Amino acid sequence: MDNREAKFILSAYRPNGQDSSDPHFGDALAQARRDPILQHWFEDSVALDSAMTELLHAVPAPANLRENILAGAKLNRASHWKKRFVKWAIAAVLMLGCECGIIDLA
Amino acid sequence: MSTDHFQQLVDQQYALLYRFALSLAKSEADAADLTQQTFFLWASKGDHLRDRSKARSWLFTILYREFLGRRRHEVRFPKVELDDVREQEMSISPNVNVFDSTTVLQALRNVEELFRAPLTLFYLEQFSYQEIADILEVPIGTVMSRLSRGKAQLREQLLSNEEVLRNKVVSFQSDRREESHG
Repeated sequence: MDNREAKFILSAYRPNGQDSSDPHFGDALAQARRDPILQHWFEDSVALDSAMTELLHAVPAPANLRENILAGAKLNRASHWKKRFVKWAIAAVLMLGCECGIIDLA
Repeated sequence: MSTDHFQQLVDQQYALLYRFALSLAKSEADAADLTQQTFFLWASKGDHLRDRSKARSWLFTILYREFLGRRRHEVRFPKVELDDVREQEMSISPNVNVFDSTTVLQALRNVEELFRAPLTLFYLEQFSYQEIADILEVPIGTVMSRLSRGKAQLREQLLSNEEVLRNKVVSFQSDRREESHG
């Protein structure tokens, strides 16, 4: 494995070390331990990834988004039950109609 | 699904989903709308998901599909071949300490869309390459390639922003010097 290939694989390595035991990274990590230039690049890359994660987590979500989602879902739920009720009502009317001989499905 | 469970899921995921949407969409309003739509779809279809532990990746998958669906209406989806990977020089690291979250988000949004989605999932939720592959429905080799190229583009963006910032500081300092001499 050359450094180019190792860099390619190590780009997917997560900065918190969750992937340290993943065999897909084994050879690339070993290569980094052997090669100080690659090791330096890898440390830089992990530091940049950590900083990026931290900074992106600081991006605020709109203040009213949570409330809008919950309110919207409540409305959707109500409309869902209404639609269901209408379907059941139509089915009941049809059955009753058939039973009484008013509707002939055949 | 109970209202409590839904609310719990919203509390846990809405900010992360919004940030993912913000990296993809054109505006904050579009991002908020995508996030809401994702939860509405969850409320109507999420009940069918047997494995509740997969809710997190399901939400990200749905948001991404929603985004692609809307985007298809606007422009034809660009096809980028991954075989033409050119060697990206990634030896110079930008100094991230000089940036705030807005600048970093803007740099991320300037990365090509194809690379931006896996990159955001990698940074925001620390998804593994396997999880990203599942969410975006692409092979793991493609995820690695997109992460590698996306990071190279992001570095370029950050380095050029750093250059702009440095020039601003230099020009500000020379202005001050001229003022004090004049």
